[in-house]
Amino acid sequence: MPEQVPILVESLSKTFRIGFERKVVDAVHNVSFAVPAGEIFGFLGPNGAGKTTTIKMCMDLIRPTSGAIRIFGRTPSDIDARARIGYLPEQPYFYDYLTPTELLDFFGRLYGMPSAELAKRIDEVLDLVGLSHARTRTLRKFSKGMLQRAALAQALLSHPDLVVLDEPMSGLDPIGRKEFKDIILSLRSRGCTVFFSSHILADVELLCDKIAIIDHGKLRFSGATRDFLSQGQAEVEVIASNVPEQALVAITPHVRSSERIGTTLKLLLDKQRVADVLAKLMESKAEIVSVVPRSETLEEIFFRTATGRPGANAAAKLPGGVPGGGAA
Amino acid sequence: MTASLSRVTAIATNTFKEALRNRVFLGLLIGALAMILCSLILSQMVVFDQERRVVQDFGLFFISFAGVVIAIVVGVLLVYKELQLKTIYSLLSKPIHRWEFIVGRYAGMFLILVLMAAIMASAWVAVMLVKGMPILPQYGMAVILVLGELAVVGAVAILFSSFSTPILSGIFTFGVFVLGRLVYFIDELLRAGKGLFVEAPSLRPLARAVVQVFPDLSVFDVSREIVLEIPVTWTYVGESLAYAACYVLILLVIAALAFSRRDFV
Repeated sequence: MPEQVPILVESLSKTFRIGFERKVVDAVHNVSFAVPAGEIFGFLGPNGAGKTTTIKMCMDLIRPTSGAIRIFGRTPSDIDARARIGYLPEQPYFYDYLTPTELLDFFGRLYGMPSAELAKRIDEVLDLVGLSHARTRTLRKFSKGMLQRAALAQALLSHPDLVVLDEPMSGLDPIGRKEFKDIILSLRSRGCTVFFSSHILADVELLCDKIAIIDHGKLRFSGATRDFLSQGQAEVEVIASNVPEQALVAITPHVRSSERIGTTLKLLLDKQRVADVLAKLMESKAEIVSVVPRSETLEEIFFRTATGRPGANAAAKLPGGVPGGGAA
Repeated sequence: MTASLSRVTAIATNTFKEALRNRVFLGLLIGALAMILCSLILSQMVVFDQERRVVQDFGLFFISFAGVVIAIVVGVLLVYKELQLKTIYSLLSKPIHRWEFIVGRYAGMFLILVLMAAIMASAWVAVMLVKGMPILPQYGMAVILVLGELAVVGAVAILFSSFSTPILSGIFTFGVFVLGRLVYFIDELLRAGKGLFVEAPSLRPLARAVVQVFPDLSVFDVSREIVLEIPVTWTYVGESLAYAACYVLILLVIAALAFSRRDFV
C-alpha cells in the first residue's frame, strides 16, 4: 500500500539554527499528511508557514530534523523516487545562458531519456507551455511569466507520475493562469498526481481534491477540500434600498455585517435570521432588491480560521498581507 | 555505473558550455594570451643569448599563473553561482546523486582548464616559432604537468566552495596553492641540520603537518629543467600525474561528503 502513495509525510519536523546566536527556529513541526495517487493536492498557508521547507524536504533539498517522508514508498534521497517526480521550484531560476531547448536537453539527459525520445518530448512540452516561439532565445531574455512556463516545461519533461509545483501561478497573467490550470487538470486526467502550494485560494478551491493547511510550521487541516468547505458558515446576502433609520436600528442585532452604498444597504445575515430581518424591512416599507444565499469560500474560511476574523477584513492581518501575495 | 557516467557527462558538458559563454572566463583567457605575447616584448629587452630562456621561462610561467587564476576563479564560482542563483534547486531535484554534481562540475572545469592550456600553449609555441626557436618534446611534458597542478588547485577550489563563501574559498585555495609550492622547501628545511626549524623547534610539528597534508605542487614545475635543458622523462610525468590524481580523488571525496550534508534553504 505505501508504495502506491505518491507522498507520505509522517511526523515531519525541521529545525533551523539561525544568526550568530544560533537561535532555534521550528520551521516545520510534527507535520503528517498523505497525497493520494491521481489527485490534485493543495498545500496552503501564509508566508513563512513552512510550505516551501516541507516541499524542499520532499525533494531532498533539505534534510528533516525528525520524521519521515516516503515518495512512492522510497526516501527522497533515493534517485529512483526522484526519477518519478517533476518539480517546479518557487521563483524558478535556470541557467540563463541556455535556450529552453538546451535546458530541457540537459535535464532530459539527467533523467536518462534517449536522444530521439528527448528531442520529440522537448517539442511537445515547449508547445504545451506555449514557448515554441522562444525556443532559440536564451533564458536571460525571458520575462518572469516565460520563465515560469519554462519551469513547468522542465517539470513535465520526463512524463512524471508526480508533479510537485511550488507556487506555480506566481508571475503569470490571467491567460497564463488559465492555461496552467488546464494543464494541471489534464495531468490529473492522465493519472498523474499533482501536489502544489499556492497563495491563490480561488485556484486551489477550483482545482484541488484534497488540501493540507499549514501555519507557523504546524498542520491545521488535512483532508478533502469539500470537508474543509463544509466548515464554512452558510449566510444570506440581502440588498435593500430606502431603509428607514428605525428599521436599521431594529435589524442591526440580527445582521453579521452591513455596508451602505448611497441609498442601498447590503446586509450579510445568518440563514436563521433571514425571515425576521425581511419581515422588519417589509414592515418599514423598505425596498428589497435581492436575497441571495451564499457559502463562505475557501479563502474566507481560511482567513477566518487563521485569524479569527471574517473574510477579506482578515486578509490584511495575515503575515502575507493581501490574499495571494508574497512568498512562503 | 553507466547511468552515473551519463549524468556526470551531462553536468560536465553544461559546465563547459557555461564557461565558454561566460565573459569573465573569456576575459581571463584573453588576459592570459596577452601575457604570453608579452614574452615576445620581454625577449627584445635582453641580450641575444638570453632571448630563448626568457621566452621559455616566461611562457611557461604565464601558462601556469593564468591557469591557477582561472582554476581558482572558475572553481570557486562554479558551485557558488549554482547556490546564489538557486539553479541548484532544479538540478538536485532531478534523479542525480549529489556526488555526481560535484564530479560533473569538476570534470567540466577540468575541460575548461585543458582548453585554456591548449590555447595558451599554442600561443607559446607560436611565439617560439616567430623567434625561430626549436620546439622540444619537453615543452609538451611541461604543459601536461601544469595541467596536473591545475587539476589539484581546481579540486581544492571545488572543495572549499562546497561549504564556504566565494571570497573565503578563493583565499583558502590561493593559500593552499602558495603552501603547496612551498612544501618542497619546508621539507628541505626540516631535513637540514640548521635554519628556521632548528632555531625554532616549536614550529617543527606544524611544518611537518603542512608537508604531510598539503600537496607538493613543485613536482609539477619543470621550468628549471626546461631552461637548463635537463631531460624530463615520461615516467616522471606519469608519476606526477598519478600523484595529482590521488589528491584530486581525496579532495573530491571530501567535497562530495561536505556537499551531501548541506541543506539548500
